Amino acid sequence: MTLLSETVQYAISGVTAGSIYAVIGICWSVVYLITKVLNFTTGEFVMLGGMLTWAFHRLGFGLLPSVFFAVACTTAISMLLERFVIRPIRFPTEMTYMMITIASASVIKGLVLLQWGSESRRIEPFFGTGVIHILGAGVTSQVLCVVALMSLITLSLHLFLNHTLMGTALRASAINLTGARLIGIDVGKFRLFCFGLAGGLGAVTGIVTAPITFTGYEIGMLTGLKGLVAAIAGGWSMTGTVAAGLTLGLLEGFGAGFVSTGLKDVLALLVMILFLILRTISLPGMRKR
Amino acid sequence: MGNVSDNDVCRVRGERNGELRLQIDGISTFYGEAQALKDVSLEVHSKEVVAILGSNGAGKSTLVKTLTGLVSPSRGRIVLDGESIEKQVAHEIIRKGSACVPESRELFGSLTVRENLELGAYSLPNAVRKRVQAERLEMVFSLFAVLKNRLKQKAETLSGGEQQMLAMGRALMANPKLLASDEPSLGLAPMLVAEMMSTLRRICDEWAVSLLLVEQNARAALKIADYVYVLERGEIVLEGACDEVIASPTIQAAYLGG
Ligand SMILES: Nc1ncnc2c1ncn2[C@@H]1O[C@H](COP(=O)(O)OP(=O)(O)OP(=O)(O)O)[C@@H](O)[C@H]1O
Ligand SMILES: [Mg+2]
Repeated sequence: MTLLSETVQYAISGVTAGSIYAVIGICWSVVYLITKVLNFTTGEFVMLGGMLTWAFHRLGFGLLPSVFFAVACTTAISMLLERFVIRPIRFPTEMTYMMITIASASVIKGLVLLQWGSESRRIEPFFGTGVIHILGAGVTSQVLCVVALMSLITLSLHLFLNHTLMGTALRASAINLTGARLIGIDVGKFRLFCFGLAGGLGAVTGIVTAPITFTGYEIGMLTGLKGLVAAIAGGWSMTGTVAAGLTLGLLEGFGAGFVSTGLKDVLALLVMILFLILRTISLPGMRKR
Repeated sequence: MGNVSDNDVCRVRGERNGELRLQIDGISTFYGEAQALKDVSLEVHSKEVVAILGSNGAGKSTLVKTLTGLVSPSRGRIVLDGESIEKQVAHEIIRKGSACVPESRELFGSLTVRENLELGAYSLPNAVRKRVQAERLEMVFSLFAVLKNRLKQKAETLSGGEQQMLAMGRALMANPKLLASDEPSLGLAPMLVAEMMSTLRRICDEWAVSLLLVEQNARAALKIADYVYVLERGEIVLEGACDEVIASPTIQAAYLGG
């Protein structure tokens, strides 16, 4: 492999991973901005998406119905979590919210382990195993599918948030909940909606990546954390999160390719630590949207 | 809009006319153990500006919050156009036709003025929203002309007075029959206070919105009010038609400085 083709190869895997981190980051921020819940089950939704698809598929359902059921179930689980675990908290603070989502994440993970064991699971690629070549680097159809789908999701969300009444109302609720109530927004419904959205999108990312990276009961934590890094480094805004997610993915891709694969997972957390330290020195354009 | 002229001051009136729009009956509201409203009863009729006067901590804002469903009363009834609303929450009450401009404005700071105004119409039924939104926007511009030149600006970059106008405009976008306004004069220059008061009177007269005007600035409020309630330590201690209240010695001493 030439240096060029190697570089392109790492860049492609970087963008693929980065687009996933971006969408997972958006799942964190959609929930956090409106409900103030730092939702540590985000990663588990990603895991559930993949695992449930695999499970339904194994039961004999076709791939497409399995995907559909998995997304629907994860969305429902996320909404149930908001309605029956998070909302009833009597003295809500960001800390209690966080603790309860960490606990819920462990429960979800434990149940999946009990039910389906600890092996990694794989879903077959959606559109066969074809590979195209760009500058000597190979791109599988699944990678194309991931990048295309993540771009589509991000773009639709952007249009929804900025060009519909409901989207504007969601942004308004993130800014001022009392103001939102006064203009007639049912904040409870919006909370449910945000959790549902995060669950559904999380599941989708988990499903489309399962043919590439495999899935298993334990993947949620780290995948989720990388999304959180993107959200934090992106200042919780949508464009910021996308930029941060892609940067993180590329860093990982090049770090793993040129330096060592061992570096891959460390990098994300290193970025987060660095960012949180540096953020006390105000970076222009980072704090505000 | 200029200063309120002297013949605007307090239409003389005997019996309260107009239909009963809002009836608050024996409301008590608590914050934990502390009682902020004690058995408060009052009425607002159509075509009326009703002023609620009271000093700091009297419970004026609590009254507005109770009316708009931001806090719930532990006793009493609130009847709006014949329907009990004391058990309902804010997002339901706005749909019954009762809007409010809270003391803290509660604008969406990083959204534009236009977005803030458009969101004001959020509670309207989908079928009519577009049409009513357009009509109401014209109305808001006719009342607060400055907003028209600020549409693209973020709400948080407006001056205090402009923010007050935006908050008022946003509330009016919902096409309310009743508007509760908590200290609209707060932080305004004396000139602007008079202007705001005469605009409020116009909202009531020209747009058929009954007004519950909560004010510490008694002098300003009495210029446009039809009926007045005085709130002290959570209780109504005095009520009457505006001219009677102005004449009463207690009001002269406590609120109008002799
Ligand atoms: N959230 C709250 N928790 C506890 N007590 C409160 C709360 N809000 C108000 N109070 C208390 O209720 C009483 C009435 O407050 P309220 O804000 O209604 O007064 P106000 O008449 O609006 O005063 P101001 O003119 O200063 O706005 C005060 O004694 C206040 O301390
Ligand atoms: Mg007050």
